[in-house]
Parts: sequence; C-alpha cells; structure tokens
Amino acid sequence: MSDEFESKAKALFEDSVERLDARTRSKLTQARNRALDEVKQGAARRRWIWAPAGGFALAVVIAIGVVVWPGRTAPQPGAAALEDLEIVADSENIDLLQDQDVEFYAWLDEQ
Amino acid sequence: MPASVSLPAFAGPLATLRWDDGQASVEEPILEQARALDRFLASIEKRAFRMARIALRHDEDALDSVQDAMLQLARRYGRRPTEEWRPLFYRILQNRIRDCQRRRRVQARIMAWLPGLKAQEDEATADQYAAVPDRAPLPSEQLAADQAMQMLERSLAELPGRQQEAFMLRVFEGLDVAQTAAAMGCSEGSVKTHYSRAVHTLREQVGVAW
Repeated sequence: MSDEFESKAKALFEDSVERLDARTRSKLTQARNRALDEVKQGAARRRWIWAPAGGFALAVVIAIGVVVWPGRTAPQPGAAALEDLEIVADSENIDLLQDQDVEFYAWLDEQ
Repeated sequence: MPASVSLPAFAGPLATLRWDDGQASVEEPILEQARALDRFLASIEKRAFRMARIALRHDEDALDSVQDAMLQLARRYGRRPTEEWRPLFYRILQNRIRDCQRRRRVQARIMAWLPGLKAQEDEATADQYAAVPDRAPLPSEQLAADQAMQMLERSLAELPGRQQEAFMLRVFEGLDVAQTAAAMGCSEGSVKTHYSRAVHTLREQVGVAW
C-alpha cells in the first residue's frame, strides 16, 4: 500500500478524523463508556450465575469429605440397643404379648 | 461509597467509569480487561465513525452503528484475545452498516408508496445541530483538503459495498489482507479482487483531480 494515491487517501482520511467536531467526539466517548459498563455488568452477571453452582459444588465437596474422612469410624449401635432390637424382633415374645390378657396387665400396673 | 464520577463525556478514557474504588468489588482482571477495551475503542472510534459516515452518509446512523458495534464487541467478544478485537469490531460494524442500508432501502420503497409521509419524516428527522457552527473558518489549504476528501467520499459512496469495505479497511484502517478477510467474512482472494477494483475505479475518478 505504498502507492501515492493510497497514501494521499489515507492522509486525507486521517486529517478528516482529527478534525471531527466536539459533539461527535463526545457521543463516541459516551458510546465507549456504555460499552465499558457492559463489561462490568457482564462480569457481575457471570458472578451471579456461577455463585449457586459454586456453593453447590462446595457443599458436595464438604459432604464427601465428611463421609470418607480417613480417621472417621461409622457409629456403632450400642449393646443395649442391640438387645432391645432382638427382643422386639423375637416373634415368640410378640406372640406372648398377644396371647396374654391385656386387662390383667393393666390391673397389675395399678397395684 | 461507589466512586461515580460524572465528568463531561469527552473528559477522557475511563473518566466516567464507575468502579467501587478500594472495595475490590470489581476483580482486577475485569478492570484490566475494561482498561484494554477502553484503550482499543478509543484508538479506533473516530476512524470507525468516519468510515461508517462515508458508507451511510448520515451522522446519526453512523454513530448508532459504531455504538452498536462497541456494545456487541464488549458483550460478546470482550473476553477474546485483544489482537482479535479489531477484525471482530469491523466485522460487526460492517454488518451494522449493511443492516442500516437494507433498512433504508425498505423504508424508501414504503415511502415511494406513501409520498405524503415523506415530508413529515424529513421534518421529524431534521438534524437540530445542522446549523450549529462548530469550527472556525478554514484556511485555503484546509479547504482544498476538505474538497479532496469530499470528492473521495463521493466516489467511495458510489462503489459497490464490498469494494468500499475492502478499500476502507485496507487503506483507512490499515488492516492486512488476512485481517480484512476476517472483518469482511470472505476469502483473502476476494479481498484482493475487491480492493484492486476499488483502487482502479477511485484512481480513475479522483486521482486525476488530485
């Protein structure tokens, strides 16, 4: 693009650009600032979009950490609780309860 | 307290940015991106306006097109590498210019059917600043330059759209063939063809007068 014609065209164009009126320059600056505001708002929007996802991911990580923590042992049912469970699960005891006179036990309780 | 600086719009880059100074509400990378975009847009906005003005021959339409291109660039491509911005910006701008020209053709067709509306439309869109003098009287050299530029603008306006784009992007904006092809959305071969035809026509029309 070293041609004289193109160089002159470029020089004339640059000259006309430099002599743009104040009103046009002002409007262009305003337009630019609106575009820059868009960058800022876009960043804020992205933050809001990713915040719930980030919170959820953190909760999942914490939950996994609690479950698979190396030193952690699963809670063992106590001996007494196991005994109670055996009694309740024993079908003979349930039958025994069903066969007895409930009113008799109520009377016995009142004595 | 947000530092909302309401300086005059032409007060300079970042003059009206409203960042929450010292509160770190805007992360540094975003701030840096905004600064880079500000520098980029400030470096091209006047040339972009002049090119849009040459293509559209209307100040307000040219301003709207440039503003749309700026917003689109910031919204959709702001996070792309900075070296991609220029061709992307001009691609968006050329699309806006074409949209505007298309809209005008449709309006012209409608107005041709409704001649009564045309006069009203012209009155409604009259430029209120048209009569405002904004520069001092020009010296004779400046007048000659203005006339030469007007001649170039007229000839450019008569070129087919693609030739006009190729010439302005290559000569006025200084894009290379690959960047021009990216901005125009065509092959490098097409750019060379359009550009060479444009230069040939313009040289014939205005080269002699210069």
